Amino acid sequence: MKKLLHIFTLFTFSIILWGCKKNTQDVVIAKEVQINVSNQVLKNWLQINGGNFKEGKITIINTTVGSKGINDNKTGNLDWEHAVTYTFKGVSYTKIPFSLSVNQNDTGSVITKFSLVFRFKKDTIEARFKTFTKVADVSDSSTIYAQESYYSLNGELLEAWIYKNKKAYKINKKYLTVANNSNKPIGSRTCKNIPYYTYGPLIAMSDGSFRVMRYTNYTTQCTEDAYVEPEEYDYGGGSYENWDPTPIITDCQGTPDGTATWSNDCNTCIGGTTGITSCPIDTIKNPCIQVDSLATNSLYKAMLDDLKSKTSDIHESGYVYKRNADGSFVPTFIVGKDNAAGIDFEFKEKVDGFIHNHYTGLLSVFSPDDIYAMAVAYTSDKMVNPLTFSIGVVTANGTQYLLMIDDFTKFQQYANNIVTNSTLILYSFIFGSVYGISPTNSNDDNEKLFLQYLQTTNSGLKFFKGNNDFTQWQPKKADDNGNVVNNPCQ
Amino acid sequence: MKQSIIIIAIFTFSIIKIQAQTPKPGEYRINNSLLKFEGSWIWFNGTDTLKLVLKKEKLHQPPGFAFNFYFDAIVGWYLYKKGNIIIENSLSFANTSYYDGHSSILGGNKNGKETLEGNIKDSKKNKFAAITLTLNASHTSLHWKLNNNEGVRIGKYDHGFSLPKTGILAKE
Repeated sequence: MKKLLHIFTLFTFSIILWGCKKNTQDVVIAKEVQINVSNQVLKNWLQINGGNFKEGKITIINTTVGSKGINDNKTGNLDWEHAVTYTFKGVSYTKIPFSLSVNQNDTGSVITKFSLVFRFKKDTIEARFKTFTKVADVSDSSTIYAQESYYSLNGELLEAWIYKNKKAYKINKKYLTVANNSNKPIGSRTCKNIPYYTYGPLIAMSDGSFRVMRYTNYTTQCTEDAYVEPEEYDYGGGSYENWDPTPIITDCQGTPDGTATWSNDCNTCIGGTTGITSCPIDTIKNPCIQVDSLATNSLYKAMLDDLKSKTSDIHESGYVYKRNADGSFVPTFIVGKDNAAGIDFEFKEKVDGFIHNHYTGLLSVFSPDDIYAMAVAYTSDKMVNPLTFSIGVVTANGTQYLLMIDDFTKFQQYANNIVTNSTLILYSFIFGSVYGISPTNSNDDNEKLFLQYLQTTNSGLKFFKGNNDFTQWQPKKADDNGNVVNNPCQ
Repeated sequence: MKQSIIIIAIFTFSIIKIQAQTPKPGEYRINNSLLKFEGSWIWFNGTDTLKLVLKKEKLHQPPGFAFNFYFDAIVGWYLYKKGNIIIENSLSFANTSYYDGHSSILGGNKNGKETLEGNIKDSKKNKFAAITLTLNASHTSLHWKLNNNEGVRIGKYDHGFSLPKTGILAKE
């Protein structure tokens, strides 16, 4: 008897397990339609799960962000013929446009589109009613140009998004709730107001969050005029975890279907509606382009010529210079002490660079102190623009060289090591005693050793060798065998 | 033919010479020729005293270099008194390492030569200066010479020295 009871219990348990499995399989069917869902399946799904939307009409209960009102009846038809299916982050969606039975007049440039969006995620189908409102043109990057809201099929506002420039920001849920038809004291008045919100420009905060001025508007039944009360609200950071992230394809200016393109040379958006047709010279990160502009500048060449003519003096000479917007130079001439190698000056303001000479008996390349001076200019923020800053040397040995920053991360580290960590004396020792760079070496030897030194120190500097009349500057490096070879800019 | 061999020999020697000066990853460039500079050296002109202690030490490259390498260098400390007034004194740190940060001189010699070239800290003038120390033939005296370093300098720069520019130091 006991045995029979055991068998019966096992049988019953199996039946229960089978039943559970069957329920799971029902859901698996939904997963299958995810691959090739038909409109009829979705229509059937709506008939069962469509909430208040079963009849193709929805009453939006809560306000959306920046909407024109609440408790807004949206009655219309789903345009199944124009259903669009797409995937995002591995999740499939089908969007059915929703046409209002009665056209809603959009004001000015504000256009609102409605749709029903199905999401096929994991083993389930979900659907939400979506409103998408284009608020403004995207050309003003500080303005929220689109708002997007999602409602349950019973009309409850679930999520809202705003778009600014090329990004979407999810609005914190705590700001979605709006009081319904509450009595709000306004000064001495008591009115029955229905609030709705509009928003000002989005402001990025230093901590990564965003703030926006929220205006509480009241479509009031009060006999008085509606009024606007500004409030500041935190939207939190944004992400693209959008329920229906219909892609908005813009150019780098944020203009939909725009033609502006991003230039890595100057880290700037150019073309299209930017008003910029090419990279401004002072924004170009390519040191070769910068140096080419020096090679064609007659005043720069004249200064170098002057320094070359002074290499037979018994003191060093140099120019510290600033540049005007038109590229012209404002130089200050400086002179060192007689028979005292070296030249010194103070930065009274930011400068664009300096050039100097080495007279007879001095190095045919830059000295450690020359590079140190460049590092000080950088660490003490005395460079007008590190992208265009250069130092140069003209020597009695007939050599002429320029240095520019090529890799800012490396140079920053290098400059900090020398200046902040006071390691100049060790750098100088390695320069002279380990690499053997010396006034008694040949030009070629010093050039080769200097390039190897520069590369081993991870200076991030680009080395240019000039011709005699300063009309050409060739970027150089030492290859793996220590030979001097051309070093084209990337 | 002979001429060609000579040219090739000179060329090969040049390459070896240059390559030998460039450190390789992990290399330790030992320089025992620096030992002749080690010791205590003193200069006295009747009123002023300059005392120098030099030691050979194994150093390595500062942070940020592409690879590690090691080399010998002369590290030094000195006392300079004008009469009884101490102008500079780092001698009390003479038993410390360069990396303890109290040394005042760092230098090396090229190709084992008798002249040491490097930098000396002139704290009173807030600068480093170029120093050369040349041994006499018997290695019993050291010719001291200071100069300003070559190069562009930012900010106010004092071209003078708080130490004697030249002098002959005797080995103690």
